[in-house]
Formats: sequence, structure tokens, C-alpha cells
Amino acid sequence: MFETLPILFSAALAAAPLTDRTAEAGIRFSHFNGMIGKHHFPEMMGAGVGLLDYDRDGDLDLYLVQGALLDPAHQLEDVLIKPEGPLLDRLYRNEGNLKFVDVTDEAKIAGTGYGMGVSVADLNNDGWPDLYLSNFGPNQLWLNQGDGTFTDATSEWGAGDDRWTVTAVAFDYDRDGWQDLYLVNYVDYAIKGAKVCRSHSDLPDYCSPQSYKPSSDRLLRNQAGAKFQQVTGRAGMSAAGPGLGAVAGDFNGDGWPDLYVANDGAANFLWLNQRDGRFIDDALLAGVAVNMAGMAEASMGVDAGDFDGDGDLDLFMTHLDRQTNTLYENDGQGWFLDKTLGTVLGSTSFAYTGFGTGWFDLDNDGWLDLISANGAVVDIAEQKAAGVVLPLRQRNQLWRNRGDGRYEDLSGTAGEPFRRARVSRGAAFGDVDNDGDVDVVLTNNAGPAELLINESSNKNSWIGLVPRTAGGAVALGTQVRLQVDGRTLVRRSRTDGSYVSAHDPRILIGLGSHRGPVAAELRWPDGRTQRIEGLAINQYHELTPPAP
Amino acid sequence: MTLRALALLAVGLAAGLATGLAAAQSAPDQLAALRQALAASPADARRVADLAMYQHAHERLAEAIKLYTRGAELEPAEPRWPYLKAVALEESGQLAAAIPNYDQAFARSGGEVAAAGLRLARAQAVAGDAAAARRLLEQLRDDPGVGTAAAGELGLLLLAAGQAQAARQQLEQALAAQPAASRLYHALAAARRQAGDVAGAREALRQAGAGAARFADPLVDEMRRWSQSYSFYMSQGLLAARSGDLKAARSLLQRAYDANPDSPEVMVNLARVLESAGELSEAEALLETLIQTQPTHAPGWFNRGVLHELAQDDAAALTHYEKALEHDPRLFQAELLAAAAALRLKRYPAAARHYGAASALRPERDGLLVQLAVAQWMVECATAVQTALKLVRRRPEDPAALTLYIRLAATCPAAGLEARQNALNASRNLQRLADSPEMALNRAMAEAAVGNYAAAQAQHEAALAQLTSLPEASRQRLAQLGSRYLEGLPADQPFILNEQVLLPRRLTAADRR
Repeated sequence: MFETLPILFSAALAAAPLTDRTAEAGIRFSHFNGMIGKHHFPEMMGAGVGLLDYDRDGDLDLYLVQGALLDPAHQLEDVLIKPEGPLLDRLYRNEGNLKFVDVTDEAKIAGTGYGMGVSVADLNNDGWPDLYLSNFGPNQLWLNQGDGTFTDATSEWGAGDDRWTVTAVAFDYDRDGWQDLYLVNYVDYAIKGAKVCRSHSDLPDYCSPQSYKPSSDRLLRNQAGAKFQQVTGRAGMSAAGPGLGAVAGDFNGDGWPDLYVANDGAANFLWLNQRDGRFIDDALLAGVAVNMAGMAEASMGVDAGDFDGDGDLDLFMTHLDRQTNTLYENDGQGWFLDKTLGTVLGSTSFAYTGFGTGWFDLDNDGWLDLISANGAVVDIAEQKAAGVVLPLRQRNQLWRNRGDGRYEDLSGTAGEPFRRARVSRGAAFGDVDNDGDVDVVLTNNAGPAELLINESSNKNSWIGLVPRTAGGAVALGTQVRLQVDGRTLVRRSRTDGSYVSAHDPRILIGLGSHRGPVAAELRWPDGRTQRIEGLAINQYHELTPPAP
Repeated sequence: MTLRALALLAVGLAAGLATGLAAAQSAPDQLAALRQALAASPADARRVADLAMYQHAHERLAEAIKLYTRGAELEPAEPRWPYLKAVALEESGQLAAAIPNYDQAFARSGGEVAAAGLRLARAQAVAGDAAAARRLLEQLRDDPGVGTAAAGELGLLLLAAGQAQAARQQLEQALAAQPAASRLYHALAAARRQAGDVAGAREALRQAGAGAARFADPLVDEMRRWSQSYSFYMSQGLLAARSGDLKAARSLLQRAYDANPDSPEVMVNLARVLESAGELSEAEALLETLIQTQPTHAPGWFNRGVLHELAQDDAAALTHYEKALEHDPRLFQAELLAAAAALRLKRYPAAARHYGAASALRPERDGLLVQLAVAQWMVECATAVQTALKLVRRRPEDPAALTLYIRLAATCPAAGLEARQNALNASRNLQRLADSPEMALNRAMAEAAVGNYAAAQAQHEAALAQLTSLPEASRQRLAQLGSRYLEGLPADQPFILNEQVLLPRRLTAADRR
């Protein structure tokens, strides 16, 4: 496929295309993991970040997920890394000009659990983005009241799940116009009586998920914005798996949203939508349950995107060190081939354990680049010997899509954010400063959040598309297809994927050196299609669905 | 004789084992001994190799890589140094650095270390040099040691390149030669599917499993044996113990202990074998060392508790069982033995707590509810009646469960009128089903509990008349209890004829074996 495509756009990247602007933006958040030296599994797994325009003022605000004390038998004085602020999730409002203000208290949102992930979607179709918080323990649903505040609707909506939920995916699986939720649950873990695992050198260490019973996920059907109905069994999705990431998309091109679930050390799921409320796991035959060598990998983060510009959704996921990250290429019918070997992604990820990830167009050249937020899951002997309290630190990575099926590892030259070693977990992507390129927010376990602003400073064109529902929210699941200079660019409106994080739902497409207006073909979440001509470049466009 | 001395003796007797390994085992700390040996002869490549492989096998990769580099300086023509260094580099994530070392090893061996070629090709493929990997794999396909694995790898490479038919051929060839390499069926399924053979793909998936292609890799096998220096001997020792050969088990576990004196598993298993061999003081010393050096290791506390129980020291046993449970609350045996010890010590709240926890861990074991109810009766009999009721609900047709309920409810003043009336009804029903002395006793107690003392007296006497085979102690106990309940006085303990329930017996050495 790549052999026949010319490389149309080759942009030179700035030496440090993403720069850390966290401090000047006023974001002073540090994650607290509650570790007390007992190697409790959840303490090194969180936590995430969400990008959302909660006040609909046109720019992206920031929701950061916090941890808590894990072991009720212990107090704050027992923890090894002390908290640097209140043990609550934080909501930061974007004031413009890259200034953020902590508005958690005035928003009346109290994310108090042991936080893992955050998911964003307008669940009651009032036009305002709501929040679903995945926890180790009871989850929470916070409805946006549209006046700058949120209310806890967990019980009212039947949205709770007391197990270890890592993330949740919002998608309208039955195309009824209401966003449903798929909760990705991990393993059955209890603090009391938790297993103690040991390293090869016989020292206490974190256990692998294989030490525990995997949990089943949960599908919640949205009943017209009033409450959720639990339909997991009815949908045929009761299979248990140690899930960490998930992404929705139309993988087989039938116009209905499917779901891919990345399991940690077990075969992944590809739930194909049967269009009657049921799903069938086709991952084995589709070639995405295990890698090409037949190994079930420790999948953490995941994303779906058209990396090779052939108009369908490919899959990428991050894994344990010595496993390599894996890229599956879609043939357009929902059958995939593990193409990692030819991409350089395998060799360069071999030494790292990846979590948050995402396909994004760093330099607006029309090809999807990649980031992996890295951090080990078992103690690194050298760091432990050096006295590092949480000895799981690794560098993050950035790859540029060369447009020929191969990636180029830019990590070594991409500046400080990719030189320092932290225990990174979450990664959310979005145009935080509304300048037409994608910025990144990373989270670190027992460390600070990082706002990385895109300063690629190239002259490539772009277009931003914001498909809106009748209520005014961004219509998640809308797929856009552009034909530009002989290339097909397919993107979708999504907040899902990555790891424990939620992205900017707007669709931002790099156009390379193209300079004129473009036409867009949209497929709305309910299946309707629409063609819009003459869209000016280098600006965002608000789009509404055609009249029924 | 101390354990250390025993270790020295055991290893001394075992002299003549493989070179290096035996020498290392003659010291109490294998790693220290290897370091000492190397320090004594720093230019001795064999000593470098021993320490390097030991470190590598224990995943101290940075140290191993340094030592392999040193070995290569001592023996520049020897292919094992770059080969094992490359393996260590790859295992530490340094794939790019591993490639030239594999290349060097393969070249130096004149192709004889075929595993180096196979690993080189794999690394090249992951690093994106598919052409070089393919050339090498084609060259290795006929090698008797690695040929099958090479065909499998070649199949994967061809599949990734989109050459489904060629990939299929290689994969089928590899699987025909080594059907146990069942992971490859996934790739074969993909190759068949790509070639349009969906039915064939489904058939391949039906045969898919987790087996990997095996290949001859003697150098890595030799290195890995160093990690077995304790785990290997431990597993062999356990096998010997299970087969009843305590002498061999002790010798093997002693070797495991010498190789890794910090391993709590080795210490516990060696202590168990010493205990079975009757060497209780040695076992005690070992377990004391364990719980002092690794105070959170629950099995250490548990097994130390068992030794106290064998020595008939229930109080110390209970303390140790409770320490074990503090660090691992899921140790069912510790809960059970702690409960029994507490009951023998008449520490009824502790007994009730431990039986309750044991029952929660093994809810399917109904017998635990009997013991829980007895212990609870001593603390607060109304709770015991509730527990007995729970047992009856599980086993509504079981006369033993009903008997327990009747006797506890009838002799518990706090159980309430409804419970006493239920007990009476149950005793009447049971007596209709089987008119035995036990049923008469049930009826007697239940009648007394609701104030029908005349009827109670009649049933009690009928039971006593029939219970001729009862031991004298039990007859006395029955008479004593009868004199209380027939006068409406509360009982001082639940009326259970099975004395074992009231006073669980201690563990014996026979139980442990």
C-alpha cells in the first residue's frame, strides 16, 4: 500500500517540537499514589487526564485524576511519597493565553475515590460535557449543570461499579442518539490479603495481572438521558479479561461502531457490532487477539487511527518492555495484520513499558505520529539500588510517521520532555491553545502533570472540524473523510483510547502544503452521511447534521 | 551442629559435582564465593564465566554485561562471550547493542553457534532490517538444531511483508516438524486468511496454543542452570520429600539453602523436611532466623506455630498463627489451627473469630459452622444459634445439623421464644423420623426450653436408659447437664456429645507427614 503512495509532505520538525509549559500555565498538580511499601498493585497504575471544554467557552479545560490512601489500615504519615495538595481530582479552567485556574471547588466536583481514569461525553444531550470517573473502588458519574458546576448522578443513573475500573468508553453502539458507556474492568484485587510477589532476585515486587482473577467489563445502555441499563450479558460481552484500554470505531466498515479492548497479558477483544444490540468477539480471526507470533501481549494503551492513509482504522497499542509495541494494519474489512516488524516501532519500544498513547499529527503533514507515555511495572534494579522510592522511571517516546509505512524515533532529539525519566501513565491530546496543532498532556504516577505545547513551527495547513449534536455537544463517533491532493485522510471525533485519559473531541486534520479550501464527507454517529464543500483551511468549522 | 555447619558438611560430601558449581556451593553464600574466587584469580576466564552466568541467571544484567565484556578481553576468539553478552543486552532492552554481538558470536563460531544466528535474525527483523534477517533465516533452515524455529521466523517475516502464500508454506513446514510450537498457528491462520482461505484459518485457530518453537541453545541453557542452583534443588528436594525419601530431600534442600540462604521458600521447605525427620531444634532455629530476618513472611510464622503446637505449647502456637494471618489473611490452615488452639486455651472470642474467618475462606465446608457455633456459644449463645440456623438452611434434611440447632437453641436462654419453639418443632419431627436416644435427648432439651419439664424429664430418662454404650465421662456430663436444663437453669457449655468439637486435638507429627 505504501509502495504506491508518494510522500507528499515532508516537514522538518523543530528540534523540540513539544515544550513543557506546565509551570507557566499555572498547573500545580502532582499525583499521589498512596504507596506504603507493600507493592499494592493499584498504586502504580494510575492516573489519567481529561481535556474538555466544560464551560463551552471555546477552549479546552483540564481534569486531573488523583489517587488516595489505598490501605485503610494506614495513615498519611505512613506513605512513602507525601501528597502535595488535596486528595481530590482537580479541574483547571483554561483562561486563555495558556493560563489555567483551579476551579475544583466552585465546580462542586468531588472526585474522592482512588482514581484511575476519566471519560468525557455529553450523556444527557444537554450540550454540556459530563464526566465519568473510573476508580479502584466505586466509580462516579458527574453531570455538567451548564452553570460551571457538576452534580453526582452515579446512583440516580445506575452508573456505579465498585470493582477496579480503569477506563470507560462512551459510544452510541445502538445509534439511538444517546452515548452509551463501556466500562473496562481490570482484575479482582483486594488490599486486604493482597498477594506478595517477588522479583527474580527474591525481593518484594509488584505482581503481574496473571496473579489475579480477571474482571468482566460492563456495557451500560443510555436510556434517553435518564439512566443507564446494564446490558452486558444481553450484548454478549460478559467475557472476563484484564482490560486496561479500549477504543471504539467502525473497524469493519459497516457503519456501526465496534469496540476494541486491550487486555493486559491476555488475548484482546474485538467486539464487532451485530447491529441488534449484540456484539461478537472476532479478535482471533481478525488477527488482533494476539501478536503475529501468537503471544498475548501486556496491552496497556491503545489507539485507532488511519496511520497509512488508506481510509480505515488501524490499531496501535503499548506493551511491556521486551514485548515491543504493536501496530495492526486494517485491510478495510476488519481483518488486521501485525505490521510492527516493518515500522521501527518494535525495536525502539523494546526497552520500554508503554501506557498512554495516541496517534496525532504533530507537524500537520497529514501523517499520524505517535507518543508513548512510559513507565515500568516492576522495580528497575538499578533505580532501586540507587534509593528511588518508586523505581519504575523511564523516558517517554515520540515517533514521526515518515509516510512510507515506517516511523522515525525522535525521542533523542525532541527535547527535555523526552529526556527525563518519570513513571508516565496518562496521555491526552488536543489543541489546548487553539492554534491549529495538537498539544499533549501527560500524567505521571507520583509525579507532576505535564502540559506539552506543540511548537513544531512549520507552515503546514490544517483544518478543524467540530461536528455538533442538536444539543450542541461534539458528536462523538463522527467520521470525516477528506480528499486532499490525491490522498484520503480519515479522522474521527473521539475522546477514547490512550490510557485512562480523554482527548479533545474536535477533529483537527493536518493538510501539509495544501492551500485551498477542502470538501469533507461526514458520516454522523446515526449513520447519515453529508458532504460539505468549500471549507476554508487554517480555522475551525462548526458543523451540524443534515435535516432528517 | 549449626545449620551453616550442616550445609558445609552436606556440600563437602557432595564434592565432585560439576566444576565451578560444586566449588561455589562449598561456601555458604554462592554469590560471595563466586566473587571471592574471581578476586583470587582475576584472569581466569572460567571464574569470570561462572560469576557472569550467575548474575545473568539472576537478572542482574548490567553486572553480567560487564563481566561478559571482561571475558571477551580474556578470550577474544571465544564466541560464548559476545553471544551471552548479546542475550543479556537484549534482555535488558538494548536490542541495537545486541545485534553486533550476535553477529560477532555467529561469525566467530563459523556458524556453529546456530542459536546466535537465529537470535541475530530475530533481532534484525525487530530492528527493521528484514532483508538481512531473511537471508540469515534461509541459511539456517537446514540446521538440525534451529532449522524448525528458523522456518517459523521466516514465515512471520514473510507474513509481515504481505507474502501470505510463502509465509503459509514456511509456517506449515515448521508446524509439521514441531507441532508443539502451537503459537505459530495464529500466524498460519493469518496467512491462510490473507490468502482467502478463511475455513483454513479457522482450522488453524482451533489448533493454536501457547507453545513456542524450541531450538538448541546450549550456552543459554548452561547459563540458565545457574538460576536453578536453588530453585532446581528446591523442586527436586520437594519431589524427594513427597516420595518419602527424607534423606535425599534434606540433602537437596540444604543445597538449595546454601545457594540462596535468603529465600524464604527454601527456608520453609527445609524446615519442613527437618521437622519431618524429627530434627525439631534445627527446624526451629531455621524458622526463627526466617521470621527475624523476614518478619512479613507469613508461611514462616505459620510453620513456626506448627512447631510450637507439636511441642504442645498452644499459647505460642496461637501467637505465631496470628502473626502469620496478620501478613497473609488468606492462610486457611493458619485460621483453622489458630481457632483450634484458641478453643483448647478456652480463648473463646479468638476461637470464634478464627473459625468465622476460616469459614469465610472456605464457605463450602459446613463442618466449620459447627465449630464456629460452639465457639460462639461460649461468647454469646444467641449468635451461635444464628450460625446453627445458617447450617440448617444449607442442610435442611441433615439430622446432625438439626440436632446442633435444637441443642444450641434449647440451651441458650437468650435465643428467644421463637427459636426455642422452632427447636421443639424440629425435635418432634426428627423423633418421628428416627426414634433414637439422641433424638430423645434433643426432644428433652427442647421440651424443657419451652417449659414442658414433665415431658422433658420423661424424654431424658428414656434417652439415658438407651444410651448404654456411652462412655462414663459422657454419661456423667449428660447427667450433669440434664440436672441443669431439667430445672430450667442455663447450661455452662453447649451440649455436644462429640468431645472433639469441644476440644480439638493438637497436630501430631503424623499429621504433618
